[in-house]
Amino acid sequence: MLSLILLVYGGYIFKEWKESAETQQSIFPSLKAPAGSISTTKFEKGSILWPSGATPVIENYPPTLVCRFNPKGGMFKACILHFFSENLTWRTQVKYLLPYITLFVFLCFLFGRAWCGWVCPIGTTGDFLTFLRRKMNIPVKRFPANFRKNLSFTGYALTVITLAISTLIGMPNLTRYQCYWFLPYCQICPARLICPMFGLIKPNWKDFSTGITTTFTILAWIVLGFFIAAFYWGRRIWCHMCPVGLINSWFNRGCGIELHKKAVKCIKCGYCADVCPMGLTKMYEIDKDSVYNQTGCIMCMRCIEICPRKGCLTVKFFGRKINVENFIRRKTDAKKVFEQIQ
Amino acid sequence: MQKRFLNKYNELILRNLSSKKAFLNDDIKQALKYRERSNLSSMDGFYKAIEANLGVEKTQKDRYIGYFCSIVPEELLLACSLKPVRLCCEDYTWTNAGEEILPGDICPVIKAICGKFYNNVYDYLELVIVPGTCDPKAKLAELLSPVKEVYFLDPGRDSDYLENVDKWTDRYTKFFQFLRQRFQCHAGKKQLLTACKLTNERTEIFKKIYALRIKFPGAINIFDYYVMIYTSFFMDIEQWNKMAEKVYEQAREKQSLSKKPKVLLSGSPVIFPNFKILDVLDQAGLEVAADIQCTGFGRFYNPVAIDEDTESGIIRALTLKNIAGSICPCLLTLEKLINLIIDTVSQYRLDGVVYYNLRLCQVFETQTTIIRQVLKENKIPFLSVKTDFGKEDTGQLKTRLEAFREIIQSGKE
Repeated sequence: MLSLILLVYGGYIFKEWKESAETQQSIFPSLKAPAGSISTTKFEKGSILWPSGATPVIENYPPTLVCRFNPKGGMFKACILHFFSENLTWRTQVKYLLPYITLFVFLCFLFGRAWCGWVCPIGTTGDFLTFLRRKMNIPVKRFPANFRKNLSFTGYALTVITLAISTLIGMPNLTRYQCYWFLPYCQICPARLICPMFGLIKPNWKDFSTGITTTFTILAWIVLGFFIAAFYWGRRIWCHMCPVGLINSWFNRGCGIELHKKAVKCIKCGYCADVCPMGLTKMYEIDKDSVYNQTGCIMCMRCIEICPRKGCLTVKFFGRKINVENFIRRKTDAKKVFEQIQ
Repeated sequence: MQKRFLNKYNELILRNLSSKKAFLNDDIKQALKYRERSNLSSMDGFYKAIEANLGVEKTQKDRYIGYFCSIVPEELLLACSLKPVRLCCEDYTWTNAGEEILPGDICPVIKAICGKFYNNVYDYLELVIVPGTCDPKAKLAELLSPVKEVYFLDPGRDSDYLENVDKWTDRYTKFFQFLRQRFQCHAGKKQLLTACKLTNERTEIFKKIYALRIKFPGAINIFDYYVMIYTSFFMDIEQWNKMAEKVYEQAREKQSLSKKPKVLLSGSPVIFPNFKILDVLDQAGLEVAADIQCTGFGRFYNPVAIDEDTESGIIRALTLKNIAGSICPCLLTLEKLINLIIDTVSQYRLDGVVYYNLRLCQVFETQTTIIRQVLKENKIPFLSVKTDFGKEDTGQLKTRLEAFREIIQSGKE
């Protein structure tokens, strides 16, 4: 929760740091659109990509994962997909990008996909929807493994298409398409519509000026509808196809956080697989002592928290054992639930 | 919806089999003498509860529901403000009574249950829930249907969570719907949560007692421990929790290390008043530090872990606790049981495992071979004993257990 507040409103806290970083020489160079590029016009007030009443975003911050469309947003500028598609279009030199990519890889190496489970603003929005569903006593829908697999293929397809379009419109002959096709994924991403609301700013809902913008607007609405439905009926269904989560998930195996299972302790009660918001079952299935990090895992540690056998599932951070119960106190915890009704 | 199995023949069966004379239950009166061995004054309440349960008629206000096995979710019954009574019994006298109805070569537990039902001991029950765990239990549903209204709850034999959880949830949901219709109540999410809270409190207290006993078996006498388990079959849970808490507080001050070898007792459930095996173990100089049986450990160890606090979510959590987490040998749970035994023995440094086979109970006996092989590989002393409720073979058993103790002690040196 604290991390979320820091990410969403952190802009105020880190304002001075931001300003000093902008004026002085920083190891993170300032990335700007080339002069005369059409894409810069997209950032003007009133364009589809710009939330109404926003202040300009300072652009020289490490590309980790908060949405850039929340202008009050934290010290970080944009998600990794935004970062890549933007800079592919601008044809920024690789040497300027390297510090950012290094930082991103380093963070992923430390925490893997823990971002998704703990601080992602859209994930939190979705968890709030899930909370509402539980309060209204609507049973959760559990989707089959195939469906979830297909969703992640869709996510990869979206990523590839986005990067391809971004590269294409960066070519000298094709710059005139930039005004419509710049940041294609962002135009349909639900985060673009949701994140500004964290900053108490009205997002730009619609742009019916031309055929292409109309198509994008309608697509964005459809995706937002799917996003809300996915979180409302199921748990974290959206996270299967979120491109940012997919890129993060490459680092899940071999990252600093290691999830261990001690097979002799397991009584196969299935609690761990049942609570997994991503519908993973590996921690239930494996029958030998091993690490069970998997690509879909969002490191929410729910399985470790709920396991009734002490020492069966454990989490280690670079070889150091962490007691999950010490820092997790969530409302869905069985005990907390009971406290509520008293 | 009234579910009877032998509609046509009910009257005929009743005419021929019921109205036997009531048997005096000497077994229980004898077993109550275990009170004298106890060193805890706070145990009084539990022994009194057993006496009270014997003679006094039940109040009309409360609706009592009988059930067998830990597969049946008590929480659903509690949520409908019914009083669950677990009917598993191992009385020798009632087994004799049952033999007038059933042939001799049948599980003694089933005979005892039949004896009790056909002698009108359980008149106060409104409904009996019979799970289809083992074969005789499934037949019991038909045997009891002339006497009482029976609900048959079948979990299936496969205990794999992934494949069966939807099926289990479906069966529990139907069961819950039946209860709501039959007893005209509007139990929902709130009542279920309250019920789960009660049983989770009980689990917590049981875990504390289990952990205390496994380190200092002398703190709570083994007979007291099984009496506590037996009273939880019929006592009000809140009351049980309070009394057990008192016992725990008192026992905690009496921690002392005993020199007797500590063993783990697994296999068929030991139920009051049939404490024969405990008696023999005690005489042979073995201390039972822990149990892995469906009456004690298997029933209490898992909490209801609620993640989705919707009505269906809670019912699903109950299936996980009661079926997926169960150690019933009728389901495919052998690997789990072996894991549990090895883990408990190695973690608490117990000296051996005694596996108790009730004669004519095939499921427990069949898996003995595999358990023996695996434990042999892990160098854990293992002894399986086979006996029934009769007292004839006590001396023989004692000799075997004493030999086992000597093996353990020589291995230690």
